[in-house]
Amino acid sequence: MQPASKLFRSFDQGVAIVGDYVAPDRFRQLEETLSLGKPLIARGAGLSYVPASFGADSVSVEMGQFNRIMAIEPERVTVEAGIAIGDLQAVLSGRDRMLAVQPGYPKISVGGCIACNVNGKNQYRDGQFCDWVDRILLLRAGEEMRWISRSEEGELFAATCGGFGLTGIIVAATLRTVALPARWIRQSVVEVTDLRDTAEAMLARRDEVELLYSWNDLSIPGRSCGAGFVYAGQYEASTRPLPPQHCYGFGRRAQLPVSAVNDVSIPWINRIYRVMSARAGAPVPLFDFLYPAARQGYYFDLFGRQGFFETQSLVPLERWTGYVARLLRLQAQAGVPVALASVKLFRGQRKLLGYGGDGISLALDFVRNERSLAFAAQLDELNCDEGAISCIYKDSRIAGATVKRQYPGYDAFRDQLARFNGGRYASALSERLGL
Amino acid sequence: MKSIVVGASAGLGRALAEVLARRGHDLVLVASDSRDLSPLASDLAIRFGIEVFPCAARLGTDTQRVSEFVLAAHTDFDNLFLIAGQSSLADAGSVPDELCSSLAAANFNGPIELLNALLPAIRQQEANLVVAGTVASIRARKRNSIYASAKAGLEFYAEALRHSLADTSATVCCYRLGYLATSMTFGQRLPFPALQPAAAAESIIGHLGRRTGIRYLPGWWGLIALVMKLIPWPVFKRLNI
Repeated sequence: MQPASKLFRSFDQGVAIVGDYVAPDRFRQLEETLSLGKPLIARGAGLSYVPASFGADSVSVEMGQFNRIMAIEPERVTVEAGIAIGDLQAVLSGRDRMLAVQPGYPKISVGGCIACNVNGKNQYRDGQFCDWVDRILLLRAGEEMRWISRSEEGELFAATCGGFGLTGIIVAATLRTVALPARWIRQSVVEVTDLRDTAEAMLARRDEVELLYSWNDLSIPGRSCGAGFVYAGQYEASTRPLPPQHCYGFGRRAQLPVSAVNDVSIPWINRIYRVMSARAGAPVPLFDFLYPAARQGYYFDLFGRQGFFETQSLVPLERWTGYVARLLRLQAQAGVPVALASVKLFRGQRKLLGYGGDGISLALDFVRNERSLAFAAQLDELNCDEGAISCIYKDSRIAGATVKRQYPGYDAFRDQLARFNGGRYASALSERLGL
Repeated sequence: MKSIVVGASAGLGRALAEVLARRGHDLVLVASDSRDLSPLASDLAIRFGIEVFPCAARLGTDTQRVSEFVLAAHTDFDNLFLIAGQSSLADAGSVPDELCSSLAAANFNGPIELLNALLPAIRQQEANLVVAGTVASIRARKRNSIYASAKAGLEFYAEALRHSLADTSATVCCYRLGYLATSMTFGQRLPFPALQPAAAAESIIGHLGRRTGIRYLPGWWGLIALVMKLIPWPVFKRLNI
């Protein structure tokens, strides 16, 4: 199978590159990609905000046909990496099981979840995606395809978890599952006055609920201080019939020539969302709670061809108050509205380039324009000053030098890659980060 | 219901297996590579609660293993889909001996040997037989010459079977398939749109049981075929197709 070319775009529309790709549909073809003579990078659903699955000098290996369930056990499931999270969850639900950690859109692939070591709405409680991965089937040039795990080639396994596909092609994985408590979520909505109040409200509830996240209004620079709502979810058994599941498709993305999300509309969008959220509280189907982007994906398309970008910052808990104060001052000075802001509690250890550790994660969405990009650069400096880290797999503009300053594990990750990568796997993301 | 899909691991064969599984058919799946076949079999059994019997074997070189596998335990089939085939971009003009033999075995010898072995079972079960042909055999051309010739021969044999089985309720349908969006057409600039395998599978299964000998898929290829056949030789010989 010879590569073809196409235009790749990151989901946030920030990066557009013409690159090569292949789409194998059988193992023989997958193995043949190793002889193409160019760096490879696996590609799942292609929904990453960042250019993690393509590059100008790489061949993207589309893994969509490798989407089968290989085996299912009472507490584990083995799947090919191209399977969508939602498709897998649908099968698991039929067996009253679920994946403990899931991203917010059901079409994201298991391989993508491993490569970015994603988190869900319950990071504080259940950690990251790879915490639930027992083993990975990895295809590497010049080597036999084989299973690796924490006990077998543990170093390679650790580098592959959150390794952005730079250690080889993730072909399959065995995941641990948990019992499905219920198919409905009772969502309580707590009003908060600002970002500090948000953190306090979440900390007060962190051990009581299964799912916890917030929405905060930062739409008016200098006036908004992050008032909003904390959503706490608990599973609730119910006999009520589940509604049909709808999933917004991103097949034809970003058609609007100008962004419908702008300085004028952002405050109104947030006002409308506030009114709608104030009425929330009824039980929510688990599908809708796990995958908010499935119903509200049109939000991303409203940014049009101009696109958006997101910064996610994991701030140490003890620095949160000072961080918020500086953030709001910077925003007021820059005059940049935030289209969407959300907070999650995190717990764990920082490892290599993983977005994890103890602290508070703040996600901010911006319209992609010069002013907001300049403001984001100020946020980068704020993060460096306050010991915060930026989420590499969400932010398509963050520079490699900034990542190196923020992540103590940067050099260790590069050293590991030097042993496991051999120049054989690369993407536009790895190029930008200098990996 | 039980169906046999030969050439099940990818493309149209896989799509047929998935549609049949969704409709509750137990399946016998035949493909050359167990690394593709095994996860497919597991996946379909898990998702749809059916029984799946995989047989890793290559038509043309290992046909007997397939026929023995079926005859040993699966002669109670209702449908047989013979989808497996092989093509090559090097199939033009003079072709290396090995490739020539391989194309003939995969597209003609193997399928015919298998159908011959299973004919008593097809008759006994009054099964539906679906054979994958190709629009490439509408008219002989310099490209895909061995592939198209072999498929033309297979189509002829399928018609012969149809005649042979005319006194039963068994049906034989040979599909002259146009471009399908599979790895066979990946990256190629195609003069006509490619059909998604899933859509082709739905159409084929929806048509099961009808007494149509030859069918174009997509149907508009019938018109193209008519035009192709009517082009006079002095014009046709100049076409770079």
